[in-house]
Amino acid sequence: MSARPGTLRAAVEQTIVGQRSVVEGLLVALIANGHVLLEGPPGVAKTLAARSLAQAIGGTFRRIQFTPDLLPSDIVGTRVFDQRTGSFATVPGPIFANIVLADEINRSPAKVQSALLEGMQERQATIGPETLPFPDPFVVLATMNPLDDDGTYALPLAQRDRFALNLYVDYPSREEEVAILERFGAGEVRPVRDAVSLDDIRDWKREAERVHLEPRLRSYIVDMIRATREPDGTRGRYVERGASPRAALLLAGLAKARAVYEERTYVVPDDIRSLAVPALRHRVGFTYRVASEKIDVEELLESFITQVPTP
Amino acid sequence: MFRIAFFASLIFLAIAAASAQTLPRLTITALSITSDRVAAPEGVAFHLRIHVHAKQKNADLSSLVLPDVVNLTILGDEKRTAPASDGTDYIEILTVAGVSPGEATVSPAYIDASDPTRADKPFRFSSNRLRLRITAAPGTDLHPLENAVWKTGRIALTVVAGLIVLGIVAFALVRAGAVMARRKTYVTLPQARPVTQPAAAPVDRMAAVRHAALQLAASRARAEAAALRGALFALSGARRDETLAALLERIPADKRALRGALRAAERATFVNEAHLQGAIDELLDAVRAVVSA
Repeated sequence: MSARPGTLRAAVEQTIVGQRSVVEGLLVALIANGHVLLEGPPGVAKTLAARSLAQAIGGTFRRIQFTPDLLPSDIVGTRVFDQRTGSFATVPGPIFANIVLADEINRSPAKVQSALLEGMQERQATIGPETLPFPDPFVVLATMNPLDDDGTYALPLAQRDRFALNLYVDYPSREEEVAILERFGAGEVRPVRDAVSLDDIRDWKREAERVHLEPRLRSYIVDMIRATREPDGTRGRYVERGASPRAALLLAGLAKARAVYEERTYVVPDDIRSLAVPALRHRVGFTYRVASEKIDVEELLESFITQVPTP
Repeated sequence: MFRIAFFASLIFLAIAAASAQTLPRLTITALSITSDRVAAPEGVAFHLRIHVHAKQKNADLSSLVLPDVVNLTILGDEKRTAPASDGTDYIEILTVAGVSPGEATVSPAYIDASDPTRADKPFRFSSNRLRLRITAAPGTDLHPLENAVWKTGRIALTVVAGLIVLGIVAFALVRAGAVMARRKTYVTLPQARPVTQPAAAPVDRMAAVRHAALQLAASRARAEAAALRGALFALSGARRDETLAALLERIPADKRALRGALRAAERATFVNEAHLQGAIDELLDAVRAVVSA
């Protein structure tokens, strides 16, 4: 009898106080085989969430701090001459792990970002003559700090599209902050190790592929995506480019993964609605007016989503 | 007999109170439907404009029920909410086309709401109704000769209309100086007074649930399960864009039967084929509990 997603959630919540939607997003992305872009101010447990998740699934965890002088080989790996054998040996980089935390991904220039993003897409890397597959599961959790963007290299829309979800990690509520002090004030809380196995994760991924998605829900997803591409009068001023068909495919996959997370064998509208904003936030191109008029992107997206009647 | 009537009235009052709680709090001061054409050839698109004005700022007018149309087909729907100095304006434009020559009717659009200016009593605010004429499409039923005459006539009419427009423009240019000198005035269009009447009794919604349940029991198909889900959502006062999770947050925990039925309906509508019949059985049991409660 394999462990269920609820066991993993409980294990991660041992160290992460509150942030239920973030924990849910991380676990859903893991089941959906997708990568996550985490945005939020410093000190809201983004790194701790990634580390806790890696330890709870008994997988390998690597953290890459992106800096302006980072090179692609620092991520992917390189070939080193071995004097004993007289030949080159392949040294895989930190990307060869189950959970990779790409910290402050926008601090490195485009060629380094591309090395990571290509790996995310292909799930393998070529080092010299050798092509090595990444371990399964393989999830990249990339962080960006929206408050401090001096000297950063913004991710283009096409690159952001490779992330399944864009989760916003906000400050905790007052009660949660008190709970954090209670839990962590006495000393370091070690994340739960091996709450589930990597085989369990692979089983959930297979389950997600078999989840039933009713045709009317497929239409619901497509209508939602198209609503971002055909905005009406007022909203049209704020949208430069709507979400792509890839967004529809990914949203369907994420909804199936959430059904497994919720112990269901079928998708319901709530699965789609709860993931629509984090799945679309980074895929819709907004005009300068959004920044100049201080429009809340989340509210704007909600207005697109709610104009589609629930099936 | 007296006892049955007493209990029935108690149930009615309880449902009415519950329904009133779920209604949006709105004071509707205008609700009208207008058409940009009184008569239109069949198949030619024209527009119906529904205008709602609520006294509340940022009012949620998504529960507006669109009119039923007869002999018209709806081609498109565009809606816009605009904040106004004295509340909120909501404009929905339906693009429609006539189906066949004859009369087309548009029933009133309405919105059920509890009016805060009238002690939060539930009201149904209804718009006017429209009656339009659909004519035969030009050239469809005509003899080739008649068709040619029709076309020539149309060209002549266009030329005359063009000349009239040119005349008006020339006249306007001559008067331009005088017009520029005048102070600009803004004309406020009169707003149609909405017709108010008590909101539809919730018993109707319960009857719709019963009817949908009977249909499902007879057919045991997914489409009927979905229809029953829709009736249960309507009974619970769900908005168009509301999902089950959001709806359950609003329904009190003690309404176990209704909450159970909504969950069962969700399952029966979206479950895979292999589990559909079991889910329908569960749904029918759950609805029985709602009806008997």
